[in-house]
Amino acid sequence: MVQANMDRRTFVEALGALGALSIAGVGIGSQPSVAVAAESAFPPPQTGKPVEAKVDPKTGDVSVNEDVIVRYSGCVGCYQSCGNRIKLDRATGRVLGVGGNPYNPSGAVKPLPFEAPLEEAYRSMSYANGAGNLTRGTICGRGNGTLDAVSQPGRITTPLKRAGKRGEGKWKPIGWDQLLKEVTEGGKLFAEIGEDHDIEGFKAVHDTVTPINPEQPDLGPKSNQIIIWNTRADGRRQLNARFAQTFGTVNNFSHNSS
Amino acid sequence: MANGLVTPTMPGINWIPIKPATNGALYAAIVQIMMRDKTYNADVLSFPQQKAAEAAGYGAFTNAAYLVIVDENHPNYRKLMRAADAGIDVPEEKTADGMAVQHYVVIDAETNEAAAHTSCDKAVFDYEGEVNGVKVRTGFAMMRDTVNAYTLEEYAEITGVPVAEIERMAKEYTSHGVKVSVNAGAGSTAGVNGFDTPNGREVLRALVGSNQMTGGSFPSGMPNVEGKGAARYDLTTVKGQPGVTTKNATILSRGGKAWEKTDEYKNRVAKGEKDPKPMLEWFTTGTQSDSQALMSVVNQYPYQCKIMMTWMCNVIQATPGAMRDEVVERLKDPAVLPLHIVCDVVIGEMAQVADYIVPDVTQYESFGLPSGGGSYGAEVRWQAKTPETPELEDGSYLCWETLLIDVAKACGLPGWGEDAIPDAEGAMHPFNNAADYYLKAVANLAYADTPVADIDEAEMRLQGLDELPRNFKAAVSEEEWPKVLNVLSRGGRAWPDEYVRGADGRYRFLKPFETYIYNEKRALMTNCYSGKRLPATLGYNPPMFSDLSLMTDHYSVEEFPFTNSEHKPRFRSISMLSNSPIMRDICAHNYLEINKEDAAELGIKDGDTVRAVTPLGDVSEGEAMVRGGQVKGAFSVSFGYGHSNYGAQDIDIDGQVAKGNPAIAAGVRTHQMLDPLVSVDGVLGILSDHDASSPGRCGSMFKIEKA
Repeated sequence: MVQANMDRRTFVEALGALGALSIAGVGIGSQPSVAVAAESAFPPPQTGKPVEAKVDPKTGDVSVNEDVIVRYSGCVGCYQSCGNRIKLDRATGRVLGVGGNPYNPSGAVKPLPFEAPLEEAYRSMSYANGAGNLTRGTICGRGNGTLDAVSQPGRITTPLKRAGKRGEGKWKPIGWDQLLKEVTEGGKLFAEIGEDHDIEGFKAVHDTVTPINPEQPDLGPKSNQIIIWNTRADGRRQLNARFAQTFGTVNNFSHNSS
Repeated sequence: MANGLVTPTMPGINWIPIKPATNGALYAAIVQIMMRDKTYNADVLSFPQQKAAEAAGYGAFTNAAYLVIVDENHPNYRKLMRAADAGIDVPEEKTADGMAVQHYVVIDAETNEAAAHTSCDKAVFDYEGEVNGVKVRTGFAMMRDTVNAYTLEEYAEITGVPVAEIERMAKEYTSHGVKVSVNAGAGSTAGVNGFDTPNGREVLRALVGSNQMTGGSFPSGMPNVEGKGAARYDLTTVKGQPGVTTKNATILSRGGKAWEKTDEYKNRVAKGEKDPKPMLEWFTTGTQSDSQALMSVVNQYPYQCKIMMTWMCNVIQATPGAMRDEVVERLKDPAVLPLHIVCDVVIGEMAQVADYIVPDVTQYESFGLPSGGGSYGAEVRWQAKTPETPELEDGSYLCWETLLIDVAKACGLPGWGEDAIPDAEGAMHPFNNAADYYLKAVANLAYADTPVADIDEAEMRLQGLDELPRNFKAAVSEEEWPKVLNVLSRGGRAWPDEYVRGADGRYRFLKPFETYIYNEKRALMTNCYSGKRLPATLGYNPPMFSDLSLMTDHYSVEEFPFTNSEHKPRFRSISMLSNSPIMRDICAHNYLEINKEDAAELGIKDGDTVRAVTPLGDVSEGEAMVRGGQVKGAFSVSFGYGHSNYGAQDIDIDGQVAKGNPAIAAGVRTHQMLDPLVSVDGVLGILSDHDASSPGRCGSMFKIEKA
């Protein structure tokens, strides 16, 4: 199921992980289009990024800049589950910026009803909405900080396998099919760096019958010897429970204690 | 409150500093005043069951009136009295999940006779006497003892909150009927006596009857988007699961099981060992704890972890005392931990000790329907931006879900791959990529209560929703797709307040809500090292080590007069975002925050480099922030600073080295001491909450000195 050009791609992305800005490049931003700059009734954007729409402060008329897509989604700057507003460059798909979601009660004092048209959402960001800041969706500094997660220089964008002792900080990029085969089949996975012990993969540990310790059957079967953990209450960890239950382990941990 | 998120800059908010790990004392002091002045809600406390509470216009009940057997010679001593103990005949009934219905015993307020709680609407909650020849007291009466274990003056000394202020809080809290609440959670529960915090919170809410009431402790909630009974798909039921549960397997964090019930204990007794003790503490009532599990891994006790799957988390840094060389060295050892797979966007402290790293997607590239937020509904986070990770030929991207799906399929696990997810009619659907799962959850949200309209065509084009990846549309039916898009276009769905707020001032979807005034589970729990018990009603429990001996019995308060707390950072996200230049620009590092008077006594000035040292010699060194608002006798640290990895380290990929950025490592993390009673002969054990098994982040002992 892996793309034919995986190996080449893997290599290129590994270079990305070495310090070059990744292609998401929020910090770079795109220049405003000529059309937007020329037609805008407002001062030119300070950030060097195009505005998504303009609103006539007197009539409330909205004209949308079709070069910019505004999508509404959710923020994980923390776990309050605020909504957010993601601005994307329509041509490149790059993230231009992030803000609040006026439909979400966590980000707006008077949130828009679900049925309110998107035009109303654009208008809510302007002085023409009549509600001041009450309906305007906002996110906090941490919500803005999440932009850096996409574009950070150290972002990993390819599978890595350790190429030195564990903890030594040496890695090599590998393809997805290789990673999947190694972790499921097990074996002498680090023979090439001089570690010739056998490692049990998922298939070997996936034994829901044989006890971990016949003297202490209450510990459970061998399949109980895997741990899954996470700390994020971001709506993704339900699959961890599904994996744990279907694999046969009770060791599915969440953020509860840490 | 030592860890609170409430800021004193909010109008009407008074910031009252409190010593860490003394929340139980403050709550007990307030309850002492409420009992003294009888300002609790006597109506609410007399309801022995939900039905009675609801009939009287409330939303919840307590076990305040349930009788407790206090006769030391009775076989059920310390237990709540059951109908059989009182010689009361009751029908045998089963609950929906097959458990026997419990019939507790109360004194009926009308007859003054003992009765089963299930057949009584109003009970006497303050009672002491004999029933069927057995000495009994109500839980409420027993709580009087524990909240009066200290005087108000002593509570003021313990908490650092003046008596007058405690009196003011108690008066204020009881002056608004049910329209009051207490909030405490998260960090304030992560102390050595952390359980006292949620316990006190719940007791205080219950004493005024504020649960499920408008203006009081009102639930938020969300519609069923995943479970059985959801509108379109059942995303949790999987046929053919292996059935490994806590009934036949032990959780690595040593929770939910009494030490003396383990096979290890029984085997050691059978071999002639008298009163055997475990290597690490067992927690009868603790359900799960990643911190304890981490310590189990490094000690390979009670069993070895063979494969660790770490997803976007930092259990090492989040476990106080664990981020030390001895622990990290063991995690580096394949003989201790044979295989470690990490999925993340950065090489943090966990990924640094991984064998394999799987790249994950960020919040702009992932799906999720988290609960939370302030109103009824659900936010939908979705793949609004093309992920930066490699795309596989089936259109999915490398991420945590892809790892789980592909490993599950390789192992032939049920509930993954073809015929994995049932719809409401029972037809089966495939689960081959993240969209297959999450967009079905979005369909459930779209059809919850009243289905939303189809998306407007023009709005679809405006947001580019007509050009979404092919996996999206394939995940749901033709009929569902335009409604799913409509929910995506708003980033979720929220219902107006009136939807959940009944005209009678209650939650419209009332569920049975019981608060334990007397906690029977705690009453029956014994400590695995000393056999000691903790009181079953609200009170203050000073910081203790693993055998429930007081920390101050082991180390001198004169020499180590400071305690500590940690709070969530405003400019990081728990352990994350220290690699964000935006966040670092706002605040480059954190501080050891110290009270002004304490600093003056120690000759410490704002900006000095200071060291907080534990009795075991652990050193936390950082810049002092001398400030108001910090309680005297404790220092505080904003959590999530002091990384050793996360981009602070050099990373070598195929021989090309990306130099680490020391700015990411800036700041200080609390170097908490280990539990000295278990950490002997090579064992490494952390300070723990003896109920919940949470880590003892707050409430340790320190001295502070200038570096």
